[in-house]
Amino acid sequence: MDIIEIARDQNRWWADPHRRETRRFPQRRGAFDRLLSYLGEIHGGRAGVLLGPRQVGKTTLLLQLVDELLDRDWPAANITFFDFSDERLVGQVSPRQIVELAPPGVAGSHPRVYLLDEIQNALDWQPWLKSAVDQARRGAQPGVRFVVTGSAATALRKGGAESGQGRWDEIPIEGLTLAEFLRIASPGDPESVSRIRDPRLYTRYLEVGGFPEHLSSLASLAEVRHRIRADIADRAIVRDLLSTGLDVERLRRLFVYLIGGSGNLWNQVKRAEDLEANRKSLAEWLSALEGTRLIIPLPRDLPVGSKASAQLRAQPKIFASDHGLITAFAPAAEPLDAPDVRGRVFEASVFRHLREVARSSGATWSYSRIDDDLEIDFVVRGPSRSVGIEVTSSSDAKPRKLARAGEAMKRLGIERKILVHGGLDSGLAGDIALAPLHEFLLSPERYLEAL
Amino acid sequence: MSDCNPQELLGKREDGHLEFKDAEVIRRPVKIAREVVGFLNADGGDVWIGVKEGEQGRAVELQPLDRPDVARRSILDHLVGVIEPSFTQDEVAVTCVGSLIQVTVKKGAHPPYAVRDGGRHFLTRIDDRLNEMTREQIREAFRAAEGNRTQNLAEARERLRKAQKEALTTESLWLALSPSPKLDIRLSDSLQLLQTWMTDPVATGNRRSGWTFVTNLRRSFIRGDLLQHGEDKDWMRTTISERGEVAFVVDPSAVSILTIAKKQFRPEALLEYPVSVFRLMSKLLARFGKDSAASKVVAAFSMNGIKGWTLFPGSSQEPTRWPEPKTYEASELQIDPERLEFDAKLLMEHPDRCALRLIRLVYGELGFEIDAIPREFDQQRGVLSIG
Repeated sequence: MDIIEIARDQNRWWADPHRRETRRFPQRRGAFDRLLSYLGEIHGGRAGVLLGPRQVGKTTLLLQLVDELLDRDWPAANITFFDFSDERLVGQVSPRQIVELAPPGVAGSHPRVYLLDEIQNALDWQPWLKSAVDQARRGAQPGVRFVVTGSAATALRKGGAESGQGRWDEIPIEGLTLAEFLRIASPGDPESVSRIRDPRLYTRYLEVGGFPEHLSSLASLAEVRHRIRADIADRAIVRDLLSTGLDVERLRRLFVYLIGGSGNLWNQVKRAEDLEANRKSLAEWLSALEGTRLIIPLPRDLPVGSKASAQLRAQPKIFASDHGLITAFAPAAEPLDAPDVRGRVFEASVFRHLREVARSSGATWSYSRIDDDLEIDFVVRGPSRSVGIEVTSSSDAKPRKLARAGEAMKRLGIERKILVHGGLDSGLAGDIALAPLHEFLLSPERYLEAL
Repeated sequence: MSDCNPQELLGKREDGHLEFKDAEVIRRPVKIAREVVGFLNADGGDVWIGVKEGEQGRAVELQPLDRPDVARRSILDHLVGVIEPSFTQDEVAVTCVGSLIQVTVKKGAHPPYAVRDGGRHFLTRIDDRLNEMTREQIREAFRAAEGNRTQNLAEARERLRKAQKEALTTESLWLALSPSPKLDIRLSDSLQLLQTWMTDPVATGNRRSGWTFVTNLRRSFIRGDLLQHGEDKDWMRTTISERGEVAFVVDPSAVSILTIAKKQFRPEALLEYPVSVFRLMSKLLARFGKDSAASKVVAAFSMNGIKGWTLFPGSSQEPTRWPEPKTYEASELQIDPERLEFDAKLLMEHPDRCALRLIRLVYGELGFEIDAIPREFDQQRGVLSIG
């Protein structure tokens, strides 16, 4: 099958402008409006680069853009979508080949829009995108627009960050937040963003994480877990990272270690022993895995003015970017019944939602350790205040836990203290705000208030 | 008599409500059981253990027991083992009063009672005498009991109909089950167990993220004679009464297909919600029920606000196997309790099989034969298994 045939197959609207690809997924995520804006004028021809792990809905977002444009009577031939991870492609394809495609009916009245999916698989995509954006800016109106997606940021960033300066903006995307999950699962429910009506959906969210594909799937949990493992281990790691030349089998093993110990301190020596690798390789592998955005490091919160050596010694904690990865890779039939797994799921889901809030407010996130046994799970520092968050999967806020969390936060001078727990109690315990996990995930900004 | 000072017993005479047994009777507890049965079949009374009677049945001496607490437990175990049908805590209470034991017996709710002692002995109390009941008395007692059972069942159905009518005033899926004879649940004593059932799906044999009555996002609280899980205005709530009646109500959107069409039934939810409630009733019967073969459970079901909803036959996993969906034209669907009566023992042992009867009726009302029920329900084995 040659490229034009694959492109025709991927762009069915060229032949039938009434065709819509996302009728089954009409709910749109927050990133949709931002991406749509890159098709207009306000970004001065910059490209939008949507970066996120596999399976979080990037392709669907691109196809929703297609449907939106078609609904606005955009000429169908002016919209080109191309998925560079299409299994039918033999060898790497250059984006130039895609841009040169000329479907019949291209109109000069509208910009041509290129929606390029999984672009890290394309040949020399960075120099091409750089020159394509530059050319588009110099060219005649109405010009062209680019929105591209990638799931292995290492490959995306390889020499790309510099040349991308001023030419494209990175837009991060992760799995669904609980509020998004509920809104998409209950489209007819106006209260879904403020309150969990159907408790089944919350349990499902804890079990399968924020992967949209499994949101309302009837498949058993065991099947969903198997699918996530296959998608992530076989595609996101083995396939996507193959081109980096790294030892993907040991990368995969490292990934499984990290996910199984989500929230643990990064222990380079131990991991090097486990994988019979030297530290340099290990550092490369960790960096590659961070690039997939399947794991996220949480740095240690150090006092202002700490020595550079102290900063170097401060090991980060490594978290699964989505708690669904933890349940998928957990060595248990009922992952949430295992206290250890449940605890990690709680922490990873809280971290996922903290990142969402912190990004929009320009805050930083970290963990803090005062002594070996006095720790705060998350410290979010915003321009105007700091928030400390302790997480427990226990259903009651134990006095000892509260006292220790309170003491640690007091010593760090943290203004707002929160204990996220697995029960139903809310309100204040001393000066610590109690937050049931489901309520915290539903509206973390309410608990963090103005940062 | 529970506040009685044992010293005050001295000089009193046995009568239709008072019996004395000396300390030696502990070695022949069946004698105590016979007296208890006599009171259960009559108007109730007290048996005092550790009180010696003299002439004309007068209490003449108190005989303190060595370890009354141990004896109390042993007597209660014996009574539970030999008296049929089972009695409730309300009907027979065994307590220590100082070094004596008092067995307080109320008139039994399900006579005739018998004691198993080399055969079944039906006994009744007449004044201070314990008599074997005649065949005619036993027959009459059974006839009356049957009448009571029939009446209890009729009352249970009536209560369900009344509740069903009320449920139909709002858009909801509603299901209630009522055991007859009623159970005897002391909600405050059993609160922890009941809360576990309400919050942990596995505890009642249900799926963790299935379409069930269970949720740990709501609180349980006691209101009058009800344990309620979920607030009045909640999307979903469940109640258990002291009588053992279970009522479950949920917004009809709970049984609709997500993300595609609001007005389309999700078949799996139509199966699993009822099954989960039947499984809860099974647990209640096993924990609080009496093993009377004559016990029944009646149920009623309704859905309101479903006009224009369509149901595809078969499972969502195999939508192409079936031809056309059917659209429900009425706004409400109800199954009268007259059509849903189960043997309590069967429900206790095979809740899914009993729920299947309801599901078949619902499918019938929606215009389908039973072969349209999704394959996840193994109708041969009578077991639902989703996921």
